[in-house]
Amino acid sequence: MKKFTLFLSVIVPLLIQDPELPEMNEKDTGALIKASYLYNFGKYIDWPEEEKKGNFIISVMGGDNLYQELVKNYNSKQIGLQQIEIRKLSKTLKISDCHIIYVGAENRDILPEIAEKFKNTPTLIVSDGEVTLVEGSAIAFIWNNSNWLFDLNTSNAQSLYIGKTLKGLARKVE
Amino acid sequence: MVRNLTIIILFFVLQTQSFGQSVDELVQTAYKFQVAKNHEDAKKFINQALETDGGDKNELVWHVRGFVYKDLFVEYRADEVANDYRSEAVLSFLNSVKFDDTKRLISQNEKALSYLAVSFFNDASDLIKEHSSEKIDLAEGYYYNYRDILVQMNPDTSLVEKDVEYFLAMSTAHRKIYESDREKYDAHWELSNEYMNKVLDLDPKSFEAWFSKGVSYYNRGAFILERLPNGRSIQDIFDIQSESMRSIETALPFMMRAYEIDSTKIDVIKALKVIHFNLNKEEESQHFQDLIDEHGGEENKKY
Repeated sequence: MKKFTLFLSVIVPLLIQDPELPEMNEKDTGALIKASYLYNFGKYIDWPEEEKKGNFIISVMGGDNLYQELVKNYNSKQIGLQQIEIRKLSKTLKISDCHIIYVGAENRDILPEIAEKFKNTPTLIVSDGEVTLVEGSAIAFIWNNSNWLFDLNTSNAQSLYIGKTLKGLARKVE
Repeated sequence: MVRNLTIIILFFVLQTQSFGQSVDELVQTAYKFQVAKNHEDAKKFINQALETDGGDKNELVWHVRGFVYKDLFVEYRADEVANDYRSEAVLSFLNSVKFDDTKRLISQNEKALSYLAVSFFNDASDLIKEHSSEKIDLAEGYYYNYRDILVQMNPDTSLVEKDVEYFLAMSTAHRKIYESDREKYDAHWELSNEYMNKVLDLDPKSFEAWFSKGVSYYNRGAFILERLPNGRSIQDIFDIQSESMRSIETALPFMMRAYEIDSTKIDVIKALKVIHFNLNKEEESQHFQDLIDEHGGEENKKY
């Protein structure tokens, strides 16, 4: 019997695995959600006619991530015919007129003074936590069942018209 | 000229002689062509040997046939037909093993089968690394061909380690396809997680799998929120964030499991800080920030 000799070249198995671990897409989701609420409050609330001219101003005191999300996603949008303008404020009581002011938790200590300053003016004050509704904010973001919702205190927004739709969407209305 | 004529005559003689030849003679002829790297004629003669009485139960016929088809596979590697040649080569070597009662060809058969198995494995590997939604399913077929060969060669072979490696790689590939266009390739997100579940079935203590599942669900939750600026109403905000937060909440136990398995890895500590922060669990988030600080890490961002 003839001997059969057939040859094989060498083949080395490749490494199949991509060794890297996936990266987190790090976000401040609360800031994203609250920014979206602020924009929508602007659409749902009716401002007096004289406030429907010029830019629609949203001021942010504290809440750096929220400010950045507003600038990134809403700066080029409009409320009605008004161009949105986002302003970042340091901790101060020298605040120019604006349509909405968000006061972050880190500035809560001056919230009552801010509320006093804007009393009887068509400025919507928004802050975080139920307790801020008694400190002067008209809307407070509330963490409820793993979602950001909002409570309303209409007595802190007497110069604004807040319709049934927004009231119906609030978790609680005072 | 004379040399060419000799080859032609030899070819003619061999062709004519094939009629009425015995299995052994046909194998010898196929072998000569094979050695001369004339694979097409080697194929013709070895297949005649196979069809001759007793040829289909002859280990040598199958053995030589395996090499003929293996070399055809190598020769036509870039063509579609290569896969058919490789499958025929595998079938031939497996049959050679089956009919080789004296085990005289076992060593060469096993080496050849290993070679072909590795070629399937490498093809799967190449396809996986392409991260192509069109080609990724082909990798599955190649990997299972590799696996089948090894199991047929030795039914006791443990392939758990290789399976884990393969499932992790497939999960990564599907994740990367999904990440390349989340809207278009949404289905790949689910596929990525299905492969991760397969890893966990085999290795419930796989840090990579638990960590990846945690990241996968967290990232999906974060991605869903990118729809917010296009939302038309507050009801849209409710719907979008509800879907997003469900996904982020799902991520937490997966990431905690990864942390239980290996609490020294900074990636998992950072991930837990971010997830807790986004679930408004400030104390827990701060706890993981403190651990980051203990590791000497910067990472003082507010998320």
